[in-house]
Amino acid sequence: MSEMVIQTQQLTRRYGRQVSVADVNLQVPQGSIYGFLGPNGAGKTTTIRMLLGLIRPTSGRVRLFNQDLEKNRISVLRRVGSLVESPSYYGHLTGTENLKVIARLLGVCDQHVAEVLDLVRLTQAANKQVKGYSLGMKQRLGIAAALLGSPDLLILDEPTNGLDPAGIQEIRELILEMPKQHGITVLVSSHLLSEIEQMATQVGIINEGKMIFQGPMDDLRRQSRPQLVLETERPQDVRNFLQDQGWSVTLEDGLLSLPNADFETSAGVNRELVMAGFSVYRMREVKPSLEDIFLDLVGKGVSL
Amino acid sequence: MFWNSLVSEWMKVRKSSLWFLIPVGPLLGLLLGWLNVHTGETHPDAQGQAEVHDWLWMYPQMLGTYAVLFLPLVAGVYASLLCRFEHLNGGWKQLLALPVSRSTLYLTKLVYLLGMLALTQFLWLAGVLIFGLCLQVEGSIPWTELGKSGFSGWLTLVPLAALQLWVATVWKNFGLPFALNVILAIPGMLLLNAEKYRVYYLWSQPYLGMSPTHGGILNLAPISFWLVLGGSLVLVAAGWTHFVKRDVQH
Ligand SMILES: Nc1ncnc2c1ncn2[C@@H]1O[C@H](COP(=O)(O)OP(=O)(O)O)[C@@H](O)[C@H]1O
Ligand SMILES: [Mg+2]
Repeated sequence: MSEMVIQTQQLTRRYGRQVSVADVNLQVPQGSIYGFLGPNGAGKTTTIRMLLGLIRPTSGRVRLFNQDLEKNRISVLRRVGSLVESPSYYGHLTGTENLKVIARLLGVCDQHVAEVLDLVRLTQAANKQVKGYSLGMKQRLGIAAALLGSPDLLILDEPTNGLDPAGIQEIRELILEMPKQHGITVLVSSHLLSEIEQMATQVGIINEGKMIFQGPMDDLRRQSRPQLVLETERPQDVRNFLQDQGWSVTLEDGLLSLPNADFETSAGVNRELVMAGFSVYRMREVKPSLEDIFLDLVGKGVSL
Repeated sequence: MFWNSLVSEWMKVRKSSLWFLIPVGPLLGLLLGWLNVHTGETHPDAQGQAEVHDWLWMYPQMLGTYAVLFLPLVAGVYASLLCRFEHLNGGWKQLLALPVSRSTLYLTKLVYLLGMLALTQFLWLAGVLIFGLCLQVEGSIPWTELGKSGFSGWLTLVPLAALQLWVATVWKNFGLPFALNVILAIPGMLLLNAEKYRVYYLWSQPYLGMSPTHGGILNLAPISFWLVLGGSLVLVAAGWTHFVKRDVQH
């Protein structure tokens, strides 16, 4: 069992009567890229605010690096870099000055400022006022600020939101480098599965404040149990026949499907249909995409 | 840590347009004070004789609008501008997720606010001196009275500044604190001639403190003095605790 960098216990936050985050047990292993996935309004930002001590939980606890956040806020936050929601910046200052403001508070030397600016490829624009930056540049400046204190944990809340494909690609590459080159554990949130899929080693899916899946990305993929899909003559009759035989089978758009595609099922169904004289045109195994699983988990009605 | 925080804040303040605003209060105050000196009643001792304009005659005449209205207003404007750095582009959530205690950050803002108010008082006194010298006011310059007036005005501003800072950390909106400020300053104006009641109203204190004619502690009646001290303690503590405890969304 690898060490957990972030652990929350029954983390809950209410706003009035609305429960924004409900009993969330986050487990982020060291060295992972943890994709925190959920539709808009699911509670990702609220959770992240609690991880950073920006808001207090209604109940439950946050432990970072095996220390209680509330009791050791300052010493724990020294090891965390973060970017919450839209980028934060001082528009009237240049990129360099923005980072120097933070470097001072972190007690980091100014030389480090140039290094992180280089890392996010902002050296060219370093001496321009940030109010003239594009959203992508501001986002990168935010990441530079998050990296300034040489953190062990990076928390990025929807860092690619509102960026063009090139900008998204750039941020993704930056994130992918973190654990490999710098040994940094990353928690990155998104409402897009495709994005998490390309980066994350671990995934937590949150919906309506509740954690509905958590584990290695591969476990999520494994959830995509293949189905057996049949094309036959007189599908209605076939369905009735199979159901009489005790198979669970559904009919949709003229296609019959069974929730299991192992050899036993395939062979059994095939034999019975042939013996009963039904013509079977086609039998195939269909694997639902990750997207299907995700939609299934968060409920069909949610638009992403 | 506190020093680092002060330096960090300085980097934001230095490059801001805040500086252009600091002379505005004293300048407007001097302008209205000058009008008042020219159109105001003559000195009771003068009785139609040639003008006996000495410093301690001139100064209280100039003081009114500045002390009653502009000082409380600029305290609010400075507080809003100091918090605006963070309010504008999600600065709070970045700042408060850093390994720095919230108390440090709150006190940093308070130090700058009080510092800017002190600077404002210096500019005011410098302006008064220049003005007096230009008018060739008679007599020697009453350094002690002027110094006491400047300091006392600053001290009486502390509770107002603390309240304004509290409001400014909470409200992103610029107009709301300003409106509140005006609303609270107006009774101060109305109470100026009500000797019985004005000693109890915080917004009347800058004028009372700055007026050299009032004896007591730093020109203030004892009750006023303790009100200012108590008010400062309560309002600083309230704004501070609220800042430390509050939810940070943006
Ligand atoms: N300050 C707040 N006051 C009231 N409701 C809030 C507040 N912040 C968030 N919420 C609610 O909590 C829920 C979760 O929000 P959020 O954490 O921002 O979701 P996400 O980041 O996953 O899009 C939403 O329904 C949102 O309306
Ligand atoms: Mg969000």
